[in-house]
Amino acid sequence: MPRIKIKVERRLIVSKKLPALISIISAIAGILAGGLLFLIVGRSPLEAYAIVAEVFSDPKSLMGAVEIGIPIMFTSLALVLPFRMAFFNIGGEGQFYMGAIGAMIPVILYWGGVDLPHGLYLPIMAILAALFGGVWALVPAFLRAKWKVNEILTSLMMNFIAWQFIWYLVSPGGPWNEANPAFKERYLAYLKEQGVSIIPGFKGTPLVPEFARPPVIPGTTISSALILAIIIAIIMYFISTRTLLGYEVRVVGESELASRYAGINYMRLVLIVMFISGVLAGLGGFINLSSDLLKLTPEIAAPGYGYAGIIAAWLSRLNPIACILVAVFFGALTQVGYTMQQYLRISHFVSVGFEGLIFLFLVLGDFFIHYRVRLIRGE
Amino acid sequence: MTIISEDTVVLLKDIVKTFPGGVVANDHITFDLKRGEIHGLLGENGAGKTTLMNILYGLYKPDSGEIYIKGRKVKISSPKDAIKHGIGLVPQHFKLVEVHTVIENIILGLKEYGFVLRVKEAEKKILELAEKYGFRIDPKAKIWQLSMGERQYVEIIKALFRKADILILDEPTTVLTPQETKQLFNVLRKMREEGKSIIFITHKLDEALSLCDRITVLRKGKKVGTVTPDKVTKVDLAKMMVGREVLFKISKEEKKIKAKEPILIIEDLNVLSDKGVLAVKNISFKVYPGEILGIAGIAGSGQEELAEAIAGLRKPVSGKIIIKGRDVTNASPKDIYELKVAYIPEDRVRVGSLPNLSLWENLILKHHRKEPLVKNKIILNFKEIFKFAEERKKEFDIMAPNIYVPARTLSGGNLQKLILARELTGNPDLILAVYPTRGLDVGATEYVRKILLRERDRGAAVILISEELDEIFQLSDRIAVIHNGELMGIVPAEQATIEEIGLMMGGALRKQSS
Repeated sequence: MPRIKIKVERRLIVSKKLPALISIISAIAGILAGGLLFLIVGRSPLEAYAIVAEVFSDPKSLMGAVEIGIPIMFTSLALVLPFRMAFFNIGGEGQFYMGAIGAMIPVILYWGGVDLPHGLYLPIMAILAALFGGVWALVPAFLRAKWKVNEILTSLMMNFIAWQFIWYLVSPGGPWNEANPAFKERYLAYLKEQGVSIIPGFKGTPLVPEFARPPVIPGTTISSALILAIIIAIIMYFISTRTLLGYEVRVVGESELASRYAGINYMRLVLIVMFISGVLAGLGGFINLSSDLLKLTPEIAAPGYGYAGIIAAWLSRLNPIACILVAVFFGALTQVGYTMQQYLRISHFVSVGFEGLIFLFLVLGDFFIHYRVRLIRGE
Repeated sequence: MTIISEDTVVLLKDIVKTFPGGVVANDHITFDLKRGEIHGLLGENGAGKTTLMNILYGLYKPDSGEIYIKGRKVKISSPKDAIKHGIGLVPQHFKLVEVHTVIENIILGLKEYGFVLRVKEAEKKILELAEKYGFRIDPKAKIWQLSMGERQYVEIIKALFRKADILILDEPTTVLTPQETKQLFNVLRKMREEGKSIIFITHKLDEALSLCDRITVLRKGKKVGTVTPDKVTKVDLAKMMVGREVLFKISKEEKKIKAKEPILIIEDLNVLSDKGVLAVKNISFKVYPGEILGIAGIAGSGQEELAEAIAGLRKPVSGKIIIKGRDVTNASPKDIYELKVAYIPEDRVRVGSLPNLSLWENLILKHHRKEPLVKNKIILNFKEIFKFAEERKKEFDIMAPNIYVPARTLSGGNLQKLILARELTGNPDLILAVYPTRGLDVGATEYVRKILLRERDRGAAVILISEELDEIFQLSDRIAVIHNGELMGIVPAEQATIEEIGLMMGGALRKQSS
């Protein structure tokens, strides 16, 4: 009887098309495997597949997917440069929060009675968000460059600090809580106009007023932030492939030793790269706040956009253009989850498990980019 | 049915191995090993030696061909199979757990030493083997405490513990001092007397001639022939290996440039090693334009730290480094190379190059901030960059399909050419060459040496750190000898003798610096 052996070999040459092909196959395999979860809870996997097919074929759902994906575009683009230089910034989440905090400042001032021309709100919020995120990201960069403190730990821990800072700001009695008497005059009047009232004990700021929300792209429901994300992706692509900065980032990522020997100033480079990274994550926070959340609350942490950015950046293999597409894919999966809960009345956990399985398969797929598996007929 | 004599313990018949991308690493190679012989496998880097041995050891599967072990046709699909057939491999880069002891490394994975390790028994057996073959080893020492020579013995014992009677040694002398090499050869000869059969992979002609019973030469994946050392000369072997005549003596011109002003002055320099002990002790010397100062010494005597201090990669504890009249003792690597200092580092892969980046990315390193390679200090000017890279590739004869392939695809010799191409751009005034020919084949070694002489004749000051006395004598104008971090003296090359330098290297002789 012939014995069949499985042999794993390292691929010596990886073609350019292979990673994309493997990602697509992995995603399909993940979707098929996700159907098993439905079997376990006593439903037909076909129902799940039907929803996937529907979301990916319905323009309206796809539009929703793009919308959900926008913050992830920012948080994943933020990681292109740091990851290329092997600086593992896990702090996108905190930089995202800080961006939202920065963006909130003019809004808070507005409700407190300080007026600016309406047209200036969006640019000022964006600039403050960028600065807040950027400066927040400098801390782990400096600690790493100066004392070799592990950036994974510091950037991660700073996420919690930023989140607690939001708690402090928005909790009842906090300076930014919507019930703060400073907002009383203007904000209460506004709420009355809308026919609503403040919720006692609510942990959150007042609303972002209409004029401080980015407009939607005409004819769609998508925020114009998408255009900003695409412009940033193109700039990031240009920076990483065509500039001195991108080159030095590659050199450091390949060998810190060789870069030191080539006279590349690590401190300077890491500060620039992390500032850019924090700026982009911070802008993500601004977009999320001003077009989706509309109030700064600790709920900003619920979707974990900063963490999703890590996976998205990784799946796009640090290609900025791919970051946009992968983020939309993330959005589509979230849509799938929503739709499943809505139409199939299925537990939240099943739909999240479904998404998780797809990601697991995508990550596993990476193995096949570097290795080939062959079946060998033995004697 | 192939009839195989009893003496033939290994027969590789018509082995073919093609790698993806179409490189034929082994093209119908037939190789046999007799009981109790040392069979040299000689060839340049990339000739297919290691591939052939990896096939025998089960790491690669041949496309076609047959393997016979002790007269029986076998299939070896993993190292486990190879070990079962009594084959042991001592890899070029040791695979030992550095924080574990010798015993622990040797019995790692051996079932008969049990879940609760039978350490005492293993220790006794290790000491027996050491005595039998005439080397010394402390079974309780941690690997990191051992010299490279000692680590090699650990790998050999590991193979013997797995009952190997066919030993493959892959370039075993690359990391050894001359003394350690001599000792290893004695051990191998004793093993031969015991009836062990040994395959000795090398590219060093002298070693193959002095140690082996037969020598098989490979070139570009093909077998050139099998010879016995008494029938061939070094020149014949080199010709078989390289495919053309090789010069062993490089003609060196009289030193023409007589400069009074030194390029480099080192004064009372003290430098620490990574472990925090003094590696360079109170060293002072000067180097002048148009000369090669050879620094001889056993590897690890402080030469590497000295070179790193000059290149700005290691801060000295005290003393002075003056380049072209400027005190650069605490300057950054960038300040130093901007004074036109080239550095050819010991570690070509991790320090000297960026393995996963393309040739052009490697070639512009250190020049990448300069016009016209970069516009306005921001944007890369690809037209100029590719022109620059193509010119370097051509000038230094780097063998690669194009400038876009990653540097890791280059052979050792071509990688060194790449580093030379980058470092010698812009006609440096001082060149620090640290073990520039280590691990290179004959052709590449010859090339590197010629380039260093060319640079000297152009007027550059060259510091050549080497462990090969041949090389030091061939190239140097003056020879400085370092022992245990101290400078034992500097001798003009024409007055030096190998004996004298050897004594100084061992610390037994000290000469007044001239």
